[in-house]
Amino acid sequence: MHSLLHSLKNYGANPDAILAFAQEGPALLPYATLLCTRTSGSMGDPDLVPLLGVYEWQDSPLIFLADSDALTDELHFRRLRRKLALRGDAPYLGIIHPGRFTVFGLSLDEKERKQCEVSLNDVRETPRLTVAYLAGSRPDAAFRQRTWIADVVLTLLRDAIRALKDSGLALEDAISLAGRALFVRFLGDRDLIPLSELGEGASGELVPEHREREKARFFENQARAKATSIWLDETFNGDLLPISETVFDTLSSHALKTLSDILYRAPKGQLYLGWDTLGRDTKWGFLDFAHIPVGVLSQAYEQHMREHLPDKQHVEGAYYTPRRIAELMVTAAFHPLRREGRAHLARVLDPAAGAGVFLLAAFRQLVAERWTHDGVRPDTATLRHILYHQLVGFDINEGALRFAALGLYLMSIELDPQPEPVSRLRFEHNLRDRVLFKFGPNAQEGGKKLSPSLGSLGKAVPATHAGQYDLVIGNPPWTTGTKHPKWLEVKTIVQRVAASRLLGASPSALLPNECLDLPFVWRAMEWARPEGQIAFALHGRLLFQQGDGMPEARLALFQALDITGLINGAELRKTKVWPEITAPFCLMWAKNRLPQPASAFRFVSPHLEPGLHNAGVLRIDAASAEQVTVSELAARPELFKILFRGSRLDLEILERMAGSQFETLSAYWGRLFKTSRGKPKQTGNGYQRLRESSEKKKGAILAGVDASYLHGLKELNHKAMSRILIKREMLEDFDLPRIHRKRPREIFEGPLLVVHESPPAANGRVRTSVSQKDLLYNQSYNGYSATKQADGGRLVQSLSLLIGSKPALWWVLMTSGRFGVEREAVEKHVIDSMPIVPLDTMSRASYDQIDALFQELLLDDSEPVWRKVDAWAASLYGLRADDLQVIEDTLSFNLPFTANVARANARPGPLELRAFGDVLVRELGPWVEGASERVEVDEVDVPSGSPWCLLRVRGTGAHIPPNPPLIPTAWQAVLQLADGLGSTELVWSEGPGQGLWIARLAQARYWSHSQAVLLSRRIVWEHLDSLFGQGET
Amino acid sequence: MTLPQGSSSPQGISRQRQVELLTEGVALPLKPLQERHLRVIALGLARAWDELMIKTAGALLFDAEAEVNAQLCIQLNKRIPQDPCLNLIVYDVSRGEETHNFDGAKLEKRPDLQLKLTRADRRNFPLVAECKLLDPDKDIHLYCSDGLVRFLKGDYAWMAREAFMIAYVRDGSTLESVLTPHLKKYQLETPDRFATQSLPRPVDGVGLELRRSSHARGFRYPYHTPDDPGPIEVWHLWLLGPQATA
Repeated sequence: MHSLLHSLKNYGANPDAILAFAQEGPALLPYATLLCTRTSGSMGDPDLVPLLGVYEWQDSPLIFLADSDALTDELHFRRLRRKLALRGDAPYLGIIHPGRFTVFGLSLDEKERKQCEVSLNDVRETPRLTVAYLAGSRPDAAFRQRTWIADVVLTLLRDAIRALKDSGLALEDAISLAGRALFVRFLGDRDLIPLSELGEGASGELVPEHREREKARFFENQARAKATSIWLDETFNGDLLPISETVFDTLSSHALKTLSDILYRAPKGQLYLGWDTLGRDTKWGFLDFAHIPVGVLSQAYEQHMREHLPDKQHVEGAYYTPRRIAELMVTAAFHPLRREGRAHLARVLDPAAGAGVFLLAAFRQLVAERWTHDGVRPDTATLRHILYHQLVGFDINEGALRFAALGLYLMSIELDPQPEPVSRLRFEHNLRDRVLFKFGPNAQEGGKKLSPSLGSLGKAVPATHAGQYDLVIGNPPWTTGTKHPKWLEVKTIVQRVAASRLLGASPSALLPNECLDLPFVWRAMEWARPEGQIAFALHGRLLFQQGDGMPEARLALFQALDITGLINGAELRKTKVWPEITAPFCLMWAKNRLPQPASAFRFVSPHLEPGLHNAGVLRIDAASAEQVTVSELAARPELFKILFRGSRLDLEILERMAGSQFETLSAYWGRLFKTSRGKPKQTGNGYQRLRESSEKKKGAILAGVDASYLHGLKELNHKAMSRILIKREMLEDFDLPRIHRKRPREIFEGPLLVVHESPPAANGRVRTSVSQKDLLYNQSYNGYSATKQADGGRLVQSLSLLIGSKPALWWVLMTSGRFGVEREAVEKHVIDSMPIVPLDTMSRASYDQIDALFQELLLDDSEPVWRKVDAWAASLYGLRADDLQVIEDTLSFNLPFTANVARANARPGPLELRAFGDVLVRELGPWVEGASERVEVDEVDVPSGSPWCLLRVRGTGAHIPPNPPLIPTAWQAVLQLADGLGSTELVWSEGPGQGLWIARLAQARYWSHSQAVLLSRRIVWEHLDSLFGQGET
Repeated sequence: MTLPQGSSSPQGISRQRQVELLTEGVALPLKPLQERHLRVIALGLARAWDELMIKTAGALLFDAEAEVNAQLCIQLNKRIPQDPCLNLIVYDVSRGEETHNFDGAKLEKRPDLQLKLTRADRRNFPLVAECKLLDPDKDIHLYCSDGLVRFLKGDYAWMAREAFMIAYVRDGSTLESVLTPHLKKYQLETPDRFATQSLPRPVDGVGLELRRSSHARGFRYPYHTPDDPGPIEVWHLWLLGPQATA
């Protein structure tokens, strides 16, 4: 390795994470374009000569590393920076000087060196934390994402397609032509265009300037555009994006100009370094597709589909997948194949391939596996073999498949160690029906549109695909409720698969809400070979939804498939990890077999890390993740929610509560007021105003229902709801003539408990109020009427206290499928299933307590009084003092409100660290042997730029070896190690009796009382020797 | 202080390993529990027994086995939050909860007591304790052939390397005078039906009628490599009246 790269260890770099470009190997395949242009002799790019390697953090490039001496001047620096930014992966360029390391942000802007230098002031005093700081805090990276290459390509592509469409072309033709031009541009920038065949009178060698000019002319008129297109079709077997036969005869000059713009490069092939100063048509000149990874193109196309064909996508579901997510899923799925020794031979299927993001990632992975296995870099023939025999994609959409073909051809060229001569470009086979399969409507018959196709979910996929794949992977559509006319066909197929897996047991609700993602998982069990791998990106409802039969569907799936790992992305929605996606998502890995007796899977819930996530990076701490079994899930359908918003401590409390067999509110209400169709009477959601969808009954003139039966009632408003007892003088009479649907009058009769659907963020409680008289409320509220019930007033008062308490909100947070996932409203069925202590089982003293608390709230509806209510509720539930601490921590750091999120992400202060240490001392203290011994915890000061906080835990006393003297800089080494592990925590032992170092991410959520208890457990199980020596406790 | 320069360490794992974990199942048998933890558990069991004896004024010595198990389970759960050492390693005890055997073929296996541990990899795989009466009608033969043997054929604790056998002693038996000779006798037979690898040996420093023996197991994991569960360490805790605990 270059000596300069060695010097990076002074800045905290882990030598194993440095990839030196001088050493060829499969690990460098992601940088193939860079290496090719950096090293290929006279055709090489002198701008890239300073590059020495790349530093990867968590398997993603973090810093490109360059030799300062090889940089000639400021312009050279800017060109190098631009070319690296075109890759769209690493956020930083590090320039290594002898004895100095400067870091610059990578972006497609025109900034000079000084303007883009990253400030390392936070770690100036401790250079050894530099890499940890860059990796964990990502200074300035979020801002630069705005000019990230994927976004730039998408914008340019979007503009070009719009301009083509505006010129009179059909949208499909516009997309195809733009794609073809882009493909030509890719080839051109990589000098793979045969000018001898395509150039107009340009046979033979051309000087570079002429060559560049020729490249820009491939679409300059109708004839040349047609010739270029024919060449593409002949070279790539007609696989490329389809166009109408007559399109070239109708291309306007405006359209031709747009296509030529895509091919536009600056004079002499130089990159323009300016960015904002020129018009749209010249912006293509800023790009060099020799450096832009192929995956960027596929991602941009899928994003475009999402924006422009939403209806089509709703049915076909071509959701785009960020490259990083696809690469993570592929990388993880190949580990077990490697353990089997079959990774290099693996056959991979993406049954919802879209533009091929997963296939491209799998292609590169297969090439790397082959290289590792064979010991030599795969040549052209091997690459073609992998392409034609180990990759398969299904899709319903013709355009997506053509784009996938384009990407696969480009990737094949990109990975080729010798892509020249140009004759090598010719591929012997068409990819269609060999690699890429379309399952969808092919044509219109006699002017009559074919019924919508089920794509690869239907019967169209031949049985020959069954059991053929070592890995089935993808991101199937997450759409629900498509009302597809052939849905029964999907259900039938899935029932068949389920019956074969679940030994005849055939759960009725396998596909709730007609969701499109789950059938793909079931079908994958047929397509994957036994013991093969299945990996999918899915909607988060699979984990969290509680109604509509989802718990049964979830359990059936987990009982039919041996899930090995789950990443819950609910907290990552709306971050750059998966840009543009607001839905909660999850990533799932499974082995294609039934779960075994000891099967358990890791459930990883990454918490928000704004620095990392805004840079699109995901920390995966699988080692600290909870292991979950199917039987556990069967016993507790809310398990994923509990572990997501809480911890094992919360689960233990809930299990104890379940053991106490409390009655649910719903059961209690049903017992008191009878049921109708299985639901308790005298409770319901409020009325809804008339809306567009209000039904007009047969023969009726007006929509909705007559509301006169509610006239005379006072209507609840938001202001009145701010008090525990509603003041009638704050209300107005209800007088709407009609409402959406009839609501039973009895649910509005007093005495009445009203529960607001959305807990206000300000006080973090489910808001409840009581009305002793009749009261109308709208759909934002749920009501429980105790009319005609003896002691009904006290009944609703006691429930208002209980539901308004913190233990109740905690229970809602733990069990609701939506609150704390994607909505901030509490569903009525969650309130209904809340455990309660029936009034008729309480003592006289309890009645007095309820009356006293309610009266106190009437006088002073304040937090201190509510805290008394909390203590009362806790005693009803039999909660212990330590349970209440767990509940308080969980609510404090895991409620979905902005203040709670900020509190969880805040850097812990000295008080928090001290309190954390005190808990460790208290919990671990009883494990010491003699009275003279004790546990001590020292907080270690670390620079503010460190993503970690640090403690040292020691045992002291007569029987414990003396602690070694603390080396002043030892903590730097601990933090360096912590950074290299990609975990959220490092527990480092200095040896038996020598103490422990505890490094945890510097976010308050990791430094709570509950976290200290969990850490104490871990220390007791794994590290007692480190505290007390190897003697027995 | 020397720290490793590699991407992995005994106390932490690299990103690559983190990703690899997403596709790995559970490695069997599970890592053994340390003696210091098992001693805390044995002490907790014994103290819960003592508390029960005091509470029932010894009446428990005349109850049926199932009733004694139920009482012990309740008392243990009461004890856990009050015993700071036990509280950190055991969070719940259940009685007669359904489990299955090593290959899933027998579904209704119900160990007498299951101690749910807080160790990350043991939360779903509790420590099993099988309880037996020892009186003139139910002697050491039953203790071994209807109790101990369940651990050896993979009905109970097949994923673990240790388990408890608890005896409610009503006939004055001791481990040294009864269990050891019994196992020794069968060691002379071929095959040894209890596959004893190590005869009961004392566990020091706890002041309990507590010994541990080691036994080979005859079953094989059907879906794991390697498939050998290895031997099981059985901790025999014999309870008789109030225990003198350390």
